Amino acid sequence: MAILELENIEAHYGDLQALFGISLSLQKGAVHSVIGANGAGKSTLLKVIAGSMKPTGGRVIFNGKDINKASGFERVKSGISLVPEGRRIFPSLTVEENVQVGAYAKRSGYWNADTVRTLYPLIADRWGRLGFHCSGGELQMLAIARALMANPDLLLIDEASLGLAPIVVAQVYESLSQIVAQGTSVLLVEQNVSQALKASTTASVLLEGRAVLTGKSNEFSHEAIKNAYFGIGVA
Amino acid sequence: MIWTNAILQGLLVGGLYALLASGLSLVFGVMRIVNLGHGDFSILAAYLVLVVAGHSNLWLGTIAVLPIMALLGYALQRSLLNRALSLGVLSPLLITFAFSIILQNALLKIFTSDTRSIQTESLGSASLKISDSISVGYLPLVTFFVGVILTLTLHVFLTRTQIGRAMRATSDDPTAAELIGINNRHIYGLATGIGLFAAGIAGILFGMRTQFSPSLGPVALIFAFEAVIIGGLGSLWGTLVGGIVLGIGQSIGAQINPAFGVLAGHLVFIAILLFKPEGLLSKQKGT
Repeated sequence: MAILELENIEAHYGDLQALFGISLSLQKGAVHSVIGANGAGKSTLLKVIAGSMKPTGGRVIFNGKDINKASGFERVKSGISLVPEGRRIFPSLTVEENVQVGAYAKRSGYWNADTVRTLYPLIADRWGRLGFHCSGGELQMLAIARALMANPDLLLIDEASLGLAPIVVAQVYESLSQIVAQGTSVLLVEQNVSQALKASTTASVLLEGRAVLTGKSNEFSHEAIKNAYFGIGVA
Repeated sequence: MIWTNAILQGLLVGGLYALLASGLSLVFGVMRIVNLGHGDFSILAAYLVLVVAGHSNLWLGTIAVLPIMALLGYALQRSLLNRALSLGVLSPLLITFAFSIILQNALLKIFTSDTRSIQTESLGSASLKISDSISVGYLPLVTFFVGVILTLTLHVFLTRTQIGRAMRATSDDPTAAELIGINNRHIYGLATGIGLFAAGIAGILFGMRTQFSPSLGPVALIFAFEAVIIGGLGSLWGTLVGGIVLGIGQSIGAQINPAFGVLAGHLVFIAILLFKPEGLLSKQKGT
């Protein structure tokens, strides 16, 4: 069963159209990655799903229900959490408080302060530190931990690897399998193609607001991805 | 000894200024709205107590008026100020300025410009004798402790409760707050509700202490505003300290020359702006 279905999503920034009829279906418990260059519309797509941006066309269907009219905070309550671009950790709250406030939506499930501490020992070590003083890797893990506290059915992650040391990227992706094991479906947005394909079961490549390639992550040829990513042969 | 007395009395008045300022400080801290009607809302609460207490007991009146103030704050935020917030920085400021004008004139129309006061029987005049030359009134003492307790309660609320944490999170980054399921509009409503609740406490104690009239709101606002700035924007404990510093400044000024009190308070405020513009206990050092 599909947990998330997108039907012909269109989105605009003023007069500028960012998404052109994107359709996508994500199965329950699956990991789907959306890859593409800067400005391809990946983050816009996530914002539309999370509800922080209204689509100008198309429908977002979550758990079989049309949620186009639901606002961002209502979607968290129904089970969609976004780990935003730039992490957006609350700087004046401590690591502990950032985690605790993540449970604001009061959804029950496997994830709580103890289980996210076990998932990310690094942030457990920084428990009393202010968000303002955390390093990039700590912020990324904290952002995922904060989102997990809402026990989402669908976790959206925007650019998990951006600006992080390779060893931290590896840790973050390693944690992904544990998150999926708890029944959460994941939609990843990445510029790091090989990392994204390795972590996901299905993938789409976006080019200038259109999905130019969609399929199983392990069946893509290098050539096909390169052409889709850079728009070679797409006139 | 007269100086010790001046400082002590100033400290106690400072508690009242801190009470006046705490609601203003919270609302500014959470939404960056300066509520220009804050002082007038305080005065409104004092008049409301007169109306309610006219029919019943004074303390019952106070207990009835404070929730009304909180509900009024929530309703005004949800109906008007949230919409104004989405229009930019100036719109909420103009709306609260409108509150100020409307309240002043409505109070003038209903209650006339005659000065009134809330009669407290024994509490208003009784005092505690500390030494031969120093005694402190029970009412200022109660006011001061209410100020400290309110600041402490707000501190515990903001750091220990989930709604309080959500309020600080929203203050940090409203967009990210929405992404973890926080309805910013509701949180803003609660902040203004608490703000007017605090304004109400301050106004009622103010009305017990001294005579008031509909035109007194802006004066109360200025003292509150000075307390916030002296203590440092966004810091509740700073606001308490700011109120106390302002109170002591005024009291020492008045000791030098009775006509000099209020002016001395303003001078302290200007001195802080000149030499420590971020305030005594500012939290904004890092950013």
